[in-house]
Amino acid sequence: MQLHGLEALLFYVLAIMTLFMAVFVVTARVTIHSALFLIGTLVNVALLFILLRAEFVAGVQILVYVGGVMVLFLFVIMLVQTRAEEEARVALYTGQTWPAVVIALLLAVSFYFAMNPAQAAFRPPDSASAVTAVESGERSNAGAGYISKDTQEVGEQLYRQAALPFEVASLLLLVAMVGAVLLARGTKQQKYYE
Amino acid sequence: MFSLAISALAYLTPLLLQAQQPFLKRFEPTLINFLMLSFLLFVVGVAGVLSRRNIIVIFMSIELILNAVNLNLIAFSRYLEINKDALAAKGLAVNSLSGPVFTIFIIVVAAAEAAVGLGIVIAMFRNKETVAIDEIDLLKW
Amino acid sequence: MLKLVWLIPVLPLLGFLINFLLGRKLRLSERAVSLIGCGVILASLLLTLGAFYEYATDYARKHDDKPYITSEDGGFPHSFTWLPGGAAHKTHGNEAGGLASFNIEWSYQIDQLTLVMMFIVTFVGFWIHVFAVGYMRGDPGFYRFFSYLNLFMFMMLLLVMGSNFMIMFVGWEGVGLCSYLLIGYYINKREAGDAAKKAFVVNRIGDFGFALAIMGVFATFGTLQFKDLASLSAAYPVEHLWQFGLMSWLALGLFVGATGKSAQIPLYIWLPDAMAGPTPVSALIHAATMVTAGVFMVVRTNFIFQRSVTMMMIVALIGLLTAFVAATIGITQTDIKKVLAYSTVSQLGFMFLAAGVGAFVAAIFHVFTHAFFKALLFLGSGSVIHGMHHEQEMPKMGGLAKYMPKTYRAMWIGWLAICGIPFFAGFFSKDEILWKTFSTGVFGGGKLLWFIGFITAGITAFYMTRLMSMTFKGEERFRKTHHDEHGHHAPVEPHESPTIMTLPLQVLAVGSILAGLIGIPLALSFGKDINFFEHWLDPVIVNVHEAGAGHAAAHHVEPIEYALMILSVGIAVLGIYLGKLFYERRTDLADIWAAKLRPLYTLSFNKWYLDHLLDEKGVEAGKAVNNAMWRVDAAVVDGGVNGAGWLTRFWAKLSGLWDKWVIDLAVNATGWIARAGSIVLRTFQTGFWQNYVLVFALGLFVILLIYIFPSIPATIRSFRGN
Repeated sequence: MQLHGLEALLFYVLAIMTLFMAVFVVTARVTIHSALFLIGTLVNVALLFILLRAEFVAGVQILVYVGGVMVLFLFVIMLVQTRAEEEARVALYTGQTWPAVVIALLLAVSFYFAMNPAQAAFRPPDSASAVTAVESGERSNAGAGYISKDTQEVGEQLYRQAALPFEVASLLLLVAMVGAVLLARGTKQQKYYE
Repeated sequence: MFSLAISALAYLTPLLLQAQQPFLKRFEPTLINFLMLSFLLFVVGVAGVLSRRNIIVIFMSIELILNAVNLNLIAFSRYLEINKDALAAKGLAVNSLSGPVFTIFIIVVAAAEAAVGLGIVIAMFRNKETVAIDEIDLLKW
Repeated sequence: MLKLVWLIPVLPLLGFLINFLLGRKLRLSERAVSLIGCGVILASLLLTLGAFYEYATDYARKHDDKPYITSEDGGFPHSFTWLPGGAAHKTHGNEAGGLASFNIEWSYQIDQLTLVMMFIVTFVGFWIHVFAVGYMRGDPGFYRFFSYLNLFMFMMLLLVMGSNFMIMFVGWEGVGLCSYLLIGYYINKREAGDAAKKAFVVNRIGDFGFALAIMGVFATFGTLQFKDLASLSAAYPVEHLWQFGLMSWLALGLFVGATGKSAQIPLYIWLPDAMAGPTPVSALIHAATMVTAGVFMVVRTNFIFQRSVTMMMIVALIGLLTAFVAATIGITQTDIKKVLAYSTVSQLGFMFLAAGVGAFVAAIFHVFTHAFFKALLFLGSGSVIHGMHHEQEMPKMGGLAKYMPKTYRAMWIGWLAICGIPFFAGFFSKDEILWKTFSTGVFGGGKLLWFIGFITAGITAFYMTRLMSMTFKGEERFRKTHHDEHGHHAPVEPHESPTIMTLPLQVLAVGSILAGLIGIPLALSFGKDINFFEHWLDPVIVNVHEAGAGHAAAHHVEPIEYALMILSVGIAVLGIYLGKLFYERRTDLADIWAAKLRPLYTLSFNKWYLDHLLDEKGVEAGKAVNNAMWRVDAAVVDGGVNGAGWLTRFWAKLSGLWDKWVIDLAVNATGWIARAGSIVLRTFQTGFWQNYVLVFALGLFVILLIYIFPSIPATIRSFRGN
């Protein structure tokens, strides 16, 4: 797998944007800003999915995450009081921030070390890269703007191989919905319903 | 003006890249670049979970971690798809579509988790008037 | 249509589910409930006929009369693996120690025997359902009644159609359950509940034997599939008279099951009590179908029974004894349904007699004809009871022929059929049984057995005539007896039942005339071989006793057969004549003879004291045993317990001291140590969960470190190099 030309450039642009936005999510003082940056991150990741020819997942990512989960987040932010934090009256970070950053960096370094030896293996040799343009398969190396059969194939996979997990997931969603309603309703509502 | 610049860029970039072919070849992203992006995203998420006080931001950081995993899965799925024939020649039958399927399940679980988790946040906020994680220490002996 | 046989039991189940689950909720009208209830049975009947047609014309010819098993058509819904039990060892028989797989398949077997039974069950069952629509009209539990009936049909069809013992057992227990539910249908009648319990408990005894036999069969043969068992059992030698080997034990267990379900001595006592249920139930379950399940099972497993001459003889003797005893009891009963119940027990005895002497075909033939005329008689009695406003005592009837002509005509045919008048259904089957008994080659003494059976046939004719005469002829006693018992003076005016009740009677009456014609013996067919029934069932019966009644006698007619036939017609006519004489012309004669034969009369009237023996003496004996046990308990066990108590107390004191000074010290010391130690550990438990996550991340880092450690130098070198 190797991206060429504009796609390669696009990858770097998206990667950098994703990372920066992710960092902003973590560091933003105002919670709403965090949420907005998270939306940016998610959209970027969705674009990366498209770059990886996974249009369906990208669509799901936008619909479910950006359209659903993030709205939920925004509502909750609206419901809870974060004024003190925004006005810098209280600390933004916990007492263990520096150990946390150190450990995160250590993790990053060790991940890098874990992957680096394999880097060469994934990169096709130069002679081979000349051939990559005509790699076989419909999905393999079609140009931008090409709609692959990804959606159809994922759908078939979902309903054939993963039908049971699919149903279980629906049950999980139901339970989560009931649980969320139960948790979030106030005492006043509780009286009303009972 | 801006669009002009973009189109100029779009026109020129391939030419430039063509010229610099052997050097740029080194930087063409492969699976490993996606994986690195994925783990950086993961690490940022971990740092957020470990360091922020605001429980909502912690949730968002968890979403970042999940996205990192998703990216990972999709990248590998793509890799397997392209190398399917090569792997089959080695006697490894792979199903490159498990990646997207898993990703969809992860998104579903993430949605469920966010719904319940945020429900808990609201319930907690109603009781303790705070969303700061270090003010909630009921687990302490 | 063979592809659709899986639907045959499923349809009644569907009817049951609809009526039972929705009947109350949707307040289904009686019309809707009965349409659903009867409709599914009609559909099953049609499917059965279709399956019969295809099997007879096509399948049997192509497959050499082999049974059709639905698993041949593959998976669900034709068949599916029901109990995947895995491997098991055989523990008995020739291959003890060998491996067998206990994977029970849910599949149906269609062969000649099954088809006959399916036809009986669905055809007679359908008309009884129709009758019940009229009989149960206005009953508050209408939907419940029909859902139980449908459930019964489902279970009965499972019993009949199951391709292995386990499905048969499910059906077997299921019909037992439905029998329980339907006997106790009138939930606010005490005796109905008691009778239901009695039926259930007595059946349990039989089912215990059956279950043991099933386990034994599996332990011996390693399979429960009838088709395989038939061929596997051929490897075992025939156990001769007075030998009691493995096959005899298996047959004994099966026969115990059959005695329970088919009401044979000693387990017959539940059937007369079961008449507390509604009359259609008595007709369907306790006359036509369920009680013949025992006979069906014996015939189905004839390959086991035929391996044991001893058991064949026991079956024949038990059957004969039951036939005789029940017939004698039938003479003196006054409840119209009780008489029919004893008559059923007696006829079932005949069937077992036939099975015991090796005439399995004759047994099933009698099941077939009996289903028609006994269902007819029961439904007729139901019609009478309906017309008499739920009066069942025959001394309070009489002269009803004028008021209920249709019922009378139909029952008249049933009466002639059961008495064995020539060319009615019962004649052919009963005569066949008696002839096969007379000429049996399985064991000696057939002539003695024949004689008792012959006498029993006469008694049957007598008490059935008594029933008919007391009910339909003579003085109209219902007028005078009714109003001095209950306070109100409204005279009972008997009335004919509606068409929906008389139509089934007429259909079954036609059946009672025609059913016998498919099995006309060689002796009566002027040399033409038109005994279709015997040829049809021939492939089902394993041919063990070559010299047996079945085959040696089938191909030439002995003159003595005509003599016996004339004799049995003669005794039937004699029984009818005596019945007419006693209960129509000279009604005083009955009392005179009862007084003359007082001991015999009381013996019969009190049902040979068998109920008495079991209910009272049995319970008394149980109580005495319990009392003796209690005495032993009080003297020996309590003394022991008290002594033990004292010892325990003494020991407890010692132990208490030990506990206080040694154990407690140790426990407290543990506590102190724990508390001291926890001062350090407690500080780790901050209650602040991000700390824990931090440690978690640290752990992740450590794991990664272990993983990447070997490659670190190489990586660093690669940085330097490039």
